[in-house]
Amino acid sequence: MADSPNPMPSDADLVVRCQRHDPEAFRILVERYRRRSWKVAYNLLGNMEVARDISQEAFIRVLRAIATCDPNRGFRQWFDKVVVNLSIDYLRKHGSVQAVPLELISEPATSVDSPEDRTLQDETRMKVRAVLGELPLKHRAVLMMRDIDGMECEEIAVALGKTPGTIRWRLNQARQAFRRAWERSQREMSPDA
Amino acid sequence: MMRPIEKHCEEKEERTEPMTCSQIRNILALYAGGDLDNAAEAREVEAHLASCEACRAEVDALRASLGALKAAGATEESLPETDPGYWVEVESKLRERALGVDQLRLDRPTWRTLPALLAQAALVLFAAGATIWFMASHHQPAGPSAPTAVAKGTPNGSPLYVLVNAPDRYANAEVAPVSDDSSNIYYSDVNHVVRPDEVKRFQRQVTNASYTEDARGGF
Repeated sequence: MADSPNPMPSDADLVVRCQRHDPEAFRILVERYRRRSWKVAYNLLGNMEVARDISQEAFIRVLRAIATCDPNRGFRQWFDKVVVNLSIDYLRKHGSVQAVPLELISEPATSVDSPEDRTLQDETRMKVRAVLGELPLKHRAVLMMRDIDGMECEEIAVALGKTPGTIRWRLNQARQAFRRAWERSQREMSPDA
Repeated sequence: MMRPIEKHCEEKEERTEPMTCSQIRNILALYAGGDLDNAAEAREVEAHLASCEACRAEVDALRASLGALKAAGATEESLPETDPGYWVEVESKLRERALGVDQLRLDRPTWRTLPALLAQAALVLFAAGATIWFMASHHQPAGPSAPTAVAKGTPNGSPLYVLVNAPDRYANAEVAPVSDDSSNIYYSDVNHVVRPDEVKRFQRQVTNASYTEDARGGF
């Protein structure tokens, strides 16, 4: 049987190939999910270098446990869970991470271009990270995952091992807490304060 | 115990009465982010907002803070499209941990690790057994038939020194008396301390003249 290699193998195919000890399949998975895992970790941690390490660590964990991955149940959700849990473990261990602006990241072409806007955006990021740092980790985690990273409540529920209802309730509380802290920080920063 | 808003999020209760302003505020943060999963509820909030200025201000403030949150995030597109160093680093980390996708037995991790654990256990048991055997085979218990100290000197006088036929690497080490208390004579050198029972046997040998020319002649 002369199967031509599939140019875009599915995640399920790649997982099965990894389970059959195919290093090339693992390399493709890494390339496919590199930016996603880095982004998820960055949005949770706010530090590029730490996020990069965490995302690489996630691939190592995945490789170790690839035999337990059911290819039909979605590699992405499983992988997200690994990245999220590693990031939360890091936050638990280190309290918070020193926020680093996204200087090294090239903004998409459609985003703001002027240096002033760029600086303002970085300042906002730093302020948001500082306010987030005041919140309890369980609030921070859902805000980061839902409002910064854009994950769905159901995905967050899977990643954190909670029900979607619990995640929504926590999100509701977290948004109210963030809003209060954000407004307080804005008042303190304003010249009239 | 489940809190009211959590219960609200978990169960979709059938309500006949419209929500109060307070009930609306309880779910306004979810509404502001588009996370009310009940369309009827979302419509009810919208209807309420149309007539309640205070709740409108509240939802505006929530949306402003959510906007700041969203601006703090990175997108996949904002990360480098190519990054050759990334894979190199992953490979390097795998090597550091002696892992490689081609080296793993991936089908059954439990059974994969079991033989290694058994081999380790067998190695430990073998090492322990060998140590015990070595110690047992090189230890000669002191007894009358196997004197550990013999005299070298005159049988009638006090020994000036003894040669210890010790069952160790200090065999035949020359020792000197460190005490001349006749009831409890100790001899020692830097390598070997002659025990009292060794000395008693030594004394018996001397008293009974049981030492031989060979012994007297020394080792």
